[in-house]
Order: sequence, then C-alpha cells, then structure tokens
Amino acid sequence: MKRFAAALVLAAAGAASAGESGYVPKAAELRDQPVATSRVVARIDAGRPVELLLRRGAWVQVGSGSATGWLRLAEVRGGSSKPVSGAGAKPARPIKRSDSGIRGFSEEELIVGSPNQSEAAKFRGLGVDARQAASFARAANLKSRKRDYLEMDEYMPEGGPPPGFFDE
Amino acid sequence: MSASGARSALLAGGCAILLSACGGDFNIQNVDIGSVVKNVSDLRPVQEPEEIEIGRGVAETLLGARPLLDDAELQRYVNSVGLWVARQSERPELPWHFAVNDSDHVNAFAAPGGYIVVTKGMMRQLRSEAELAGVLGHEIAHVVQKHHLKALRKNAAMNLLGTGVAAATAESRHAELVQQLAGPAKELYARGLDKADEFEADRMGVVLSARGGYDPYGLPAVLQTLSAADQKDAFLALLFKTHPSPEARIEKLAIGMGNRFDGFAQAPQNASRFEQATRKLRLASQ
Repeated sequence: MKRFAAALVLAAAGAASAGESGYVPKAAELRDQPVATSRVVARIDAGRPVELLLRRGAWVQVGSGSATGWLRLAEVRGGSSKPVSGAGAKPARPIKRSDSGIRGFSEEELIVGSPNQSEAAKFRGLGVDARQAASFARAANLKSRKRDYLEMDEYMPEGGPPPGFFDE
Repeated sequence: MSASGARSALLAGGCAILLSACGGDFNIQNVDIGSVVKNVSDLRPVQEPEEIEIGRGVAETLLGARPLLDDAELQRYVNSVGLWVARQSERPELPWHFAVNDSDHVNAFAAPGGYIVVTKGMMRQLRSEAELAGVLGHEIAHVVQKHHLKALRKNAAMNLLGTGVAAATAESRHAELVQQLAGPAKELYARGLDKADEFEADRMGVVLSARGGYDPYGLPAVLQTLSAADQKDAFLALLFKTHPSPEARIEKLAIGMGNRFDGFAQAPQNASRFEQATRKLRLASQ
C-alpha cells in the first residue's frame, strides 16, 4: 500500500521545479508526507534556503540541509531571502530571452504601436471548437468537475482580514 | 456627496490628469470627460456582440505592440487548454481565441469578448499544462467578470458605443471604433486594472482550472516562479507595474484556498504534454 501511494505521488507530481532554489519566509515544519497530519521531520528557521524538488497540489517537496520533506506551497518562496534591512536586490532567477534580439512588449512598445488588423484577423482564425477541446481533455484524463468559486468572505481568514489586507 | 459619488469624482479627476499627462499619445484630448463621466451611470448595458467588437479592437491594439508567434502547433495547443478551461466558466459560448505573441516579456492579457494573449516570455516561465491552465484561468476570469470592459466604460471614449459612431458600413464603423479605442486601451493596459480585480481573477482562475480537472495549484506555482525573479527585470516591468506583488497574490490565494483543494493533490499537471507542445520554444532559447 505504501509503495502504491509513493507511485501515485510520482505520477501526479510536477517534476519541473527540480534544482530551483527557494527559502521559507517564516519558520516552517518539514513533513515526511504531503499531508498536514504527517510526521514533522525537521523545523526550518525563517529565511533559510531550501531546494525545490517536486510540487504536488498544495505541497512542495524540498531539501533543507540533510533533511528532505514537504512544505505547503505558500510556505515557500522562490529565489533567495531578502535582506532584513531591505537594502539590495535579492539574487534573481534569470528571465529566459530570445537568442536573436529582444522582442519586447514594454509599456513604451504598447504605446507607440499602431493597431494591427491583419494580425488580429489571424488571431480570430485561431481557436478550437468545444468537441476538440473535450477530446483534448479526455486524452490527458482531465475530468470536468463542479466547484464553486471562492466567495470574498470565504477568501478572508476567520476573524476578518489581516492587517494590511487592503493596502496593496 | 455620497461616498460613491466622491469616488466617481476622484476617478474622473485622476483620469483627466492621466490623459493630459499623456499628451498626444492618446489622441482623445477633444473628449469632454466631465460630461461623459456624468453620464456613465446612464449608459445602456453593452450587448455581447458589441463587447466582442470592442475586444477585437483591443486585440488589434495589443497586437500592434507585438505580432503573434509563428508556431501553429503551439497556438493550437494553447487554444485547446484555453477553451477547455473557458468551457468551465459561466460564458462557455463566447468565441474564445487564445494566442501566444512573439514577445520576450513575461505577461498575459485578456480583452473583452474572449480574446486572450500570453507572451512567449510567459510560456517559457511555465513548467506544466496545469500552470498554463492557471494563467489562462486568471485571464478567462477577467473576461467573465468584464473587468476590462468595465474599466474602458469608465473611460471617456466608450461613449462611442452609444451615439458616437454613426459610420455607414460595419467596416468603417469598426475602423472608427479602433481609432477611438486605441488610446484608452493603451492607457488601461499600461496602467492595469484595479488590484481587487486581479485578486478576484486569481481566486476565480484557480477554481476554473480545478473545474477543468487540473491541479489548481498551477497558478500559485507560477506566482512562486515570478516571486523568484528580479523584481527590477525589464522583462517583468509591465507585469509588476500592473499587478499586485506575486507574494501578496500567493498569500491571498493561500488564505482563500485553505485546505479546500487538498483533494486535488492527484489531479493532472500534464508536464510532459506541455513540454512536447513547447519544445520549439525551448529549442529557440538558451
């Protein structure tokens, strides 16, 4: 049974985080399974770096020192922790760009551009129909399910919004 | 003056300051903003065909900055993911069109009526189909909630749909619409929507991707990727200017999602199908 569960984890997990670095902005508990009730294998101090290994739903598998375990996605940030003083930029994950010249979509390029009717006509030519979309979904075992939107009051933690919620 | 009246007046003032600061770029100096704003609450609802035509005009403006990426296989793939997610929304029958444009900047845009553009630069940041579904779900939510349409309607030039356009043919009418729309559309896409609209699109986007059967943590994972990038990177400047910080978005999604989606832990991410569809992009970048 345990082996079966492990195989499921591998099947569902997104491997692509592997090798990326991150950190925990607040002290966090590393768990041995991507389940809130599973055993805590290590405690990580605020600001400590972690290596991102896998993501599975709400959970990210990370390596921290000699320990490996799972944190909730919201407990992990990508990149390196910012200096407490706020001075200096954090080392960045580079943005991949074209090998032959930069093709922009900056604010300036947006403003100086002229409406492009022929590209828009091509755009209107792109699309699939509902039957094709359904067949595309079936091919990857995607099943439509009912799910209500998160209401605003649901979106708030119990006891109302945290300080600064509306200050963004 | 009521609170909402005061807010409208502030908005109108802010609008006028913005437009005058923008000078000739936006070519709508002759519009009497005061009278239009006064009439905003009286404007009739925009019907769906008009909304789609406005979206077509906005798409022409967005594609004026950068054209589409020439990769038919990728365009079809993005349309397949996009329509599947859009079919889970309250507006499944809109004529949805999705596209990747040829820009290294990291961004995505929605225009009224179902037009959605993702930059090539954004595609390169993604790791799986579930992440793409999350990004598209966010943009689809903007269309479902008519965020851009409402923002454009707050702006002067949208009065053109009432009585402003009286051209003889559909084509000349559209040309006039595009001309009048270009300035306000550029201003809106350079300034961004209200942050509340962005948070709403986030929390709807994760649900739309979950309804489509995807791992709903695709969007939070993309935001985590963006949180790792240099906040001063020029290729992220417009995205970061027009959206709340990735950290704030992750935190609000974490509050909203709580443990409601823990049952989706086995939902597909489809990393391998995504890798296959984007292989030309990866070959072209080092």
